[in-house]
Formats: sequence, C-alpha cells, structure tokens
Amino acid sequence: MNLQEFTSKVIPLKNKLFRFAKRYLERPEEAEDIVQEVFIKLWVRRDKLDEYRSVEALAMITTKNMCLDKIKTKRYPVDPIDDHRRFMENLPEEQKKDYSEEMYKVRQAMKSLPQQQQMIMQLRDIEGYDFESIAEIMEMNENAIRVNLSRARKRIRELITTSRIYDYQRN
Amino acid sequence: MTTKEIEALLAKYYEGETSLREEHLLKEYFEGDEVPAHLLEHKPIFGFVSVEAKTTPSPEFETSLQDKLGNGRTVSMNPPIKRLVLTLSLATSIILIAGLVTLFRLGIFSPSQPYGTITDPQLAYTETRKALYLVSSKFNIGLDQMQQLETFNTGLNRAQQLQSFRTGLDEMNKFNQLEQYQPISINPGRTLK
Repeated sequence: MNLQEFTSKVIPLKNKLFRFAKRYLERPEEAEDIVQEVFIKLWVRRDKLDEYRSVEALAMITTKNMCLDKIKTKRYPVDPIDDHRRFMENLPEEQKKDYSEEMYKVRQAMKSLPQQQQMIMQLRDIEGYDFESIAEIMEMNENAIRVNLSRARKRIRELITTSRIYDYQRN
Repeated sequence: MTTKEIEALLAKYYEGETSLREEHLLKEYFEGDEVPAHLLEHKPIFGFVSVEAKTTPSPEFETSLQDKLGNGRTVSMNPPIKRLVLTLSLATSIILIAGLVTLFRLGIFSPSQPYGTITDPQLAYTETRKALYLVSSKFNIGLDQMQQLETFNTGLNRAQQLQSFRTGLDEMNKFNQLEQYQPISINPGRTLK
C-alpha cells in the first residue's frame, strides 16, 4: 500500500478511531495520541495491509488493544470532576446546541455500563457497524454481541427513566 | 410511520434485534417533532447516539497528522533515531574489527625477530634456569623468617582477652547515670535544703 492508498483508505478512519479510543480513555487528547500511534503502526506495516480482509477492522482492533494497554499499564485515571456544566464547557461550539441535558444523562448512563457493553453500543448505535464486524473487532461471537447490546440498551433506558422519576419527585 | 410501528421497532431495538436500517428509521423518527408524549423518554437515546457520531478530533490534530503523513517519510518518529544508533554501532564495530585485523597483518603482536642479545638458545635456557633457581632459594630464606610472626599472633590472641575488661568497664559506666538523678522533693510545699 502506497501513500496515496494509505491517505485515501486508512486516514479517513480517523474519526471512527478517535471516537472509539475516546470511549475507552474519555480524554480527547489521549484518544488523539492513540489514533496517531495507530496510524504510525499501520504505516510501518503498510506493505502487509493488503493481506488483511479488512483494514478498517484491523485499525479498530489495534485501537482497542492500545487503549486497553494504556488503561492497564498506567492505572489510567478517570476524570474526577465530570459534571454537566464542565462537560458542556468542553464541548465544541457546534455540538452545544444539540446536546440537551437529557442526552447528557444518557451519556452518564452509558459511562456506568461495563466497558465491553459501552464499546458494543458505541460500535453499533453510534458507528453503525453490522454484527459481523462488531464480533470481529471485539473478538467475541455474534450472539454474545447481541446479548450485550440488548443489556446495554435496556440498562440505559432503565437509568434515564429512574432519573426522570427522581427529577419529577424533586420538582 | 405509525406510532404502532415505532412501538414495535422500539421493542425490537431493546432486544438487540433491529437491523441497521430499522435503527436508522428510529433515529430519523426521534429527530422529528411529532413524537407522542408516551414515547418521549426514548428521544434522548437516539439524540445522543446521533450527536456522538459527529464527534471529531480537534483541528490541531488534523493538521499535525497531515504534517506527519504529508511527506510519508517523517511518519515514524522513533525509527530514525533507532536506525541512527544501529548504523553508528555497526560502523564502530566494523572499524574496530578492521583495525585489529590490520594490526595483526602488520605483525605488531607477533614479532618476527627474536628479542635481546641471545644467539644460542641452549645457553639462554641454562642461564634463565640458574637465575630462577637463585631467586627461589633466597625467597625461601625470607619465608623462614616470616614464620616468627606466628608468635606475634599468639600474643595478639591473649591481648583479645582485654576485651572482657572493657565490657566490665561498660557495666561500671551505669553508675555514672546515678549521678544524673536529682533529689526530688516529695512534698511540693517544702523545698529541700
């Protein structure tokens, strides 16, 4: 794979890789570092990329493994302060108007899910991958993906419904 | 789409059984304004996933990535340094080996001429033998005298016993502490004279 092919086939994955890494690491700067490292790794192996059935799946798996390594080795610190106000402040301007407080609650609910479920939901509901690809990226079987996806969706519904009831009672 | 159909899709959605197309329909539906009140609780979920899908890395990241990939060569930042170290160490070892080989070739380490002034090897051998013999006999004389040092050692061992005297002395030192005690007045009203 030469530079032209690399630029047209691999580089456009940057947004997906970034969102995937950010779901793992939460901090955007860390996610950007990982994506850059993934690209470097892929570029070094550019001669072998054509042998893979899907470079996209390879890139996603590489991202996943590097994020997991990062979390494992560094005892990755989770953001201590993560309230709604702070979150909104850090949000890019163009997203601020779209992001309602209710949606923020969905985000918090998703964050409370087991990591694997978060990632499956990320890949399906946000990135729109089919089950076969998700199974490949997560290195799980399709049935387990379905089960976990259903659990994740139900749990989020449950969490935001209870928070609505709580808000209702409080007001 | 009727509300009934949406409800059916939602049920499938939570079971993880919707297709990508059906999920797309749900996202579109909940983006609209005609969501009936009893379905509003699902709205933020679809809103959330749609917005999250628009998240991108910072513009600075884009430019730095383009810089790094732009000319294809600078893409890996660590390898050049590693390569430089490798080249240098390789060059050093080649020079070292070549140098040693040349020195051997020039015959620095293997003299072709015999040393000194000898002409008859047999004579040289007997002379060397004599000299070594002389040295070893004198050496032995000196050694005998050294034996007397042994008596010094026994004396030293006796002196070791003085150590026990020291321990006795340390015990005595405890008496010194007695002097530190001041008389304490038991009755605070009266001072001791």
